[in-house]
Amino acid sequence: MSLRSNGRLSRRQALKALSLAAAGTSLSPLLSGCRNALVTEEDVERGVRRDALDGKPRFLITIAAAGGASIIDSFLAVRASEAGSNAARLNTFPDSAVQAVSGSPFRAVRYMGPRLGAIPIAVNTNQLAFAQKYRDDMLVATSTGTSVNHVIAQKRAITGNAAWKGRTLQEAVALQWGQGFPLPNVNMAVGGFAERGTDGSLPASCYAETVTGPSLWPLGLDGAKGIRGAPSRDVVELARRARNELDDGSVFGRTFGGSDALTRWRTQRADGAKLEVQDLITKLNVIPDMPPQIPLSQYGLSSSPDGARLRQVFPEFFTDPFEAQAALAFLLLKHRVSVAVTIGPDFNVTVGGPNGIANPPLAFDYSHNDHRGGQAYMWARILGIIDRLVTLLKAEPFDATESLWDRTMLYVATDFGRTRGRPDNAMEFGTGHDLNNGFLLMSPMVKGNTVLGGVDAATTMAYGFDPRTGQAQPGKFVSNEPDIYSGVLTAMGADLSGSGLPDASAFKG
Amino acid sequence: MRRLLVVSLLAAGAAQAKPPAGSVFCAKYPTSPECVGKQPSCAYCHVAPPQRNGFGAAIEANLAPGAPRPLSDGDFSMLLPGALTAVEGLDTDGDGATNLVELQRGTLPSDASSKPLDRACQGDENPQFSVCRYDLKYAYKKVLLDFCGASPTFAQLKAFAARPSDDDRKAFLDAEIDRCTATEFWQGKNGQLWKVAHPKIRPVGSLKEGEDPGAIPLADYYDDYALFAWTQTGDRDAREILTADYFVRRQTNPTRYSKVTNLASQRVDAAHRAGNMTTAWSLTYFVMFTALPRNAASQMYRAYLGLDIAKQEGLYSVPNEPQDYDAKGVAAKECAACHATLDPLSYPWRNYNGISSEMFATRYVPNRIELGFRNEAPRITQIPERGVIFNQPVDDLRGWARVAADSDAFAISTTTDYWKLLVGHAPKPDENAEFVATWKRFKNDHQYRVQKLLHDIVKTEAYGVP
Amino acid sequence: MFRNALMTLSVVTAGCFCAPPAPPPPPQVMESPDAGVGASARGNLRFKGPERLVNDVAAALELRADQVCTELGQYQCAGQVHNVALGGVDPYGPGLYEPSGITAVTTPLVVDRIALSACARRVDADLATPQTAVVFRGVPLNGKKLANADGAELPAVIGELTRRVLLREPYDREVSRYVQLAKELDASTEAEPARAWMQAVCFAVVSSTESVFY
Repeated sequence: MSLRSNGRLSRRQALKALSLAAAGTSLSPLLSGCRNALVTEEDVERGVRRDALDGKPRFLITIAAAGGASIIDSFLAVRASEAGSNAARLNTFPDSAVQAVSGSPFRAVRYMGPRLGAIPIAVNTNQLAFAQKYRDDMLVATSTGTSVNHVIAQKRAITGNAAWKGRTLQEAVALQWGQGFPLPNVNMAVGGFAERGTDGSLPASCYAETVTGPSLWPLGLDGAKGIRGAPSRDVVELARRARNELDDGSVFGRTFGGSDALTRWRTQRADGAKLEVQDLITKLNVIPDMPPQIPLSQYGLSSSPDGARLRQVFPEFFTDPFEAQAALAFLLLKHRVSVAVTIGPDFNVTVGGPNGIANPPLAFDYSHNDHRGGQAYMWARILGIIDRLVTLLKAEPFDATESLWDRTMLYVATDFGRTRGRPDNAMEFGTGHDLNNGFLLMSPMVKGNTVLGGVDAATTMAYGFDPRTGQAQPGKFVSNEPDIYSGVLTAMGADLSGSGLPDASAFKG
Repeated sequence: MRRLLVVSLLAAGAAQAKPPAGSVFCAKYPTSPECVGKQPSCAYCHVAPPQRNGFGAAIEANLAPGAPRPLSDGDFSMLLPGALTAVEGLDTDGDGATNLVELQRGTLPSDASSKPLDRACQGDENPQFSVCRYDLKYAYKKVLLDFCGASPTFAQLKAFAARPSDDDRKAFLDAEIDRCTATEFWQGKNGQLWKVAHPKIRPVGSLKEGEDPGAIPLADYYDDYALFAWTQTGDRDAREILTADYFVRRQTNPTRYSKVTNLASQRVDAAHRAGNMTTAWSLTYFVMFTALPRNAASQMYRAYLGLDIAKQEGLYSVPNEPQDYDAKGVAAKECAACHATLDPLSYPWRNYNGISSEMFATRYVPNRIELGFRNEAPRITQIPERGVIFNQPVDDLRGWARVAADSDAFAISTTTDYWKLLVGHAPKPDENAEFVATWKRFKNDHQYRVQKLLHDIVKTEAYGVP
Repeated sequence: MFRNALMTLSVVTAGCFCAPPAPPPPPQVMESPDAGVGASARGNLRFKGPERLVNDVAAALELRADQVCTELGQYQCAGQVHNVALGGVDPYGPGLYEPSGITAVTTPLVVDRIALSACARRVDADLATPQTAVVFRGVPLNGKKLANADGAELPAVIGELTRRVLLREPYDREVSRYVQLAKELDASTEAEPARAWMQAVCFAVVSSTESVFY
């Protein structure tokens, strides 16, 4: 929270927060969002209680670290001297490369390499500054998954392997806090991270709105604005009214009126009107007015008031989809459009950035080719985006007392870990997929500066923990996907009544 | 609903699959739609194993209550029929249909939104649609949209209605299907056939070689699309997508596909080719750097046979497997249930190289494991080339392809692809009879000709009744 | 009087003192059924998706597919910017290999943008060159207004649109509602009520559920 030294918001921040809160209040009757204002018996059955709805939403940003972000290449790295005789054949680092984070159980890897596998770019990364800066909002929980297939494992990372009726974390959050939000759940990630859960009982708006092109996607948030030669808004509304009346009474409408498709369409038309009311085509539009390529003003459009600032924070916005996603994620939260946003790199090479390659092919899975360089490069990429995003959220008031960050959970989901072996003392080697790993959660809501579980230095394998007490359990290597799932929701303060999820109190701050 | 699946009724607290479950279920309910050419999926009883859904929980409660868990496979097989009988009269999902009715009708006894629908047709007048029977005019519009990508004009629709008889209209529909499947919309670049192929080929733009090259060009997957389109058009056998020892060249403006013996972009020798399973892209992306490419085997099993091992589908455990030649720990109890199928399924890839060596990239290399992976694990060179698919031993990947291509699973999977494309969803329980008849005709009468399958799907009530 | 008539003629012909084009043939207006329309038991409707939607709009309004809708004058709405919102796939970049199969919250808005864009272009062209007008032909104007909202020309145009987009003749309910729309606009403060009506009726028909689902 960007509170002043006396712990209070500045006058400007407070006013801004109050105006937002007021806007939210006035809009709320219009916005049915993911769930109705009143909690029904069905809601209770589904695991939602009125007491979870204090009128203040909580937000989940899922960072989909595609390809297998290895926790022992970051905050649980192992020094060679700790691994004993196995060190040379396991993924351990020279002692000097594994830095202690003062006052913290975390570690941070410093890596320098002349190239990134076959890609002739030097890799020079250091996780220390990040870990020192955010240690109090960081929790790492060790994990054992159940699949080494990318798509399957990715999906299980967001469903806890169907821990709660198959609904994704994002859907669960949308159900709990999505009331009044026009698009409670926006998903910009890929593969299994982008898949819908299997709990078909949720309201339709809890399922994710898929966004693959974050830069231009906001242009679809208004049915008429920016269309050259289009009639005035009043005319459009008159035409829509006539159309909707005729649709409902037409032979076609009466023949197929009971179909799922038309039922959904009627709801979506109404929800779309709510997007227009908020002028999200402007507020979420990060691209600048830059004729001739981007002639916004010539089409009656304009950039978001936050556009210039976000383009400065994310300078590769135009060429790096991950940066564009992060900028949009911030705006979706800021303008109370969504409570769950998912972003992440994909498997494509992204050209750009300071050294010419922003994203290596296959993202973290480039570790097949060059494990250590790939992990270092991708962790730096992920942490760099997180750092900027959290900085923005900290500076953004939620209300008079809290920042957006205070109410945000950031979950770094990933497919799985990597195999631990390497040729004797090799610094450049490839790895495969391994069930054993760990997850990074970041939020003021988690029990910060905490590692749940630990790593057996002799094998570099992560062992488990008791999700209720947090007590480490050396020798425990069984699947704990539901624990992680429950931990994210528990730390956020979700009401999990009736969910059957394990008690994961150890995650909560 | 997936097919050929194994219900893994798991003992309390133990993540141990019960491979006999599917066959026991189908022995008890042989006429259930779940058992025609397939077996029920794990979702029939589980949310995700070991977590049971309501139906699975009801069975578990009646499965030797009080007996120590886990039950042996033998006990489980013996006791399951009784447990199923015990829950027949219940309505575990509360949708008004008993479990027995749902079993018989092919709906899900644990999903209240899945229940038998008695489509009592309202006999009211409808000036635009024949809602109670196959509507040829409705079907005509759909055919043009589905195959040509655009509606007919008002005049065309009038002319269609003015044709002398329904038989004449049906013949015209058939001709229109044949006309439209020659269009760019159907078989051109990014056309409908390519859309069917996307999840099978799983392209990555930045790794594309050749036309539309990416930043790091590794392989040209347009070759894979070309072979796919070739095998799905004309009077051609769709099974060649798995068995072809040739390649297909695509020419543009207009799109034309032609069979060729070799392509500069492909490296596997003719004697070891197995359709799209051994293309440069498949070996690059699915084999990649691995010695034993389980990912390649599971992807082909999923893409062309509709069986997703990660969802515990298509499990045919092989005795004494997995051997865990590459020391990945797959013999562990929680892994073995799937790997007893997956590993023998993967062995025939042992000599197909991905991109672990530039010299041997995307080629068939005898002794590949010995040449490139010898030091990865003590027993790794013992990986055999012989494998097992559907409990049938095969000598190599071409043998694998033959068994796969001739299986019911291939016919069902291919029919499902086009059913989804044309009807708009996977076959629903009340469409099951038509679906089964359709894939059986595709396999037996049409000898795997997709063109004929398309005509059959259009003739179904699922397609043509509004 | 004479001056008014001359003005009307001049607007209609846009500077050409030729005979005004004939309106489309009168529609064979169907009687709207009062009740008891037989409902579909299957309810198996599908959204047209990006390609079919654009192809149909282009064909109905006699535009090239690339003229139907662009964002900022250069990015194709259906093929590029809004492809996924319209149910398309994006296989080579983000790896979206299969369509979702259902419409999204933003889909109706994107459909509206496409319909408005295409209709604005059609109306512009028809008003600019009335002699070659495709849909809105033979509509008498009085300055920027429709000369006679109760005349036979409006039902004729409504019929033309309905046949082109919905592949059938219009129902009486549709004709009367769109004529009513003309009167609402005529009574409004719109600067160009005739153009606005043409755009509005075109938009309403093109973005109707019957137009975008099949």
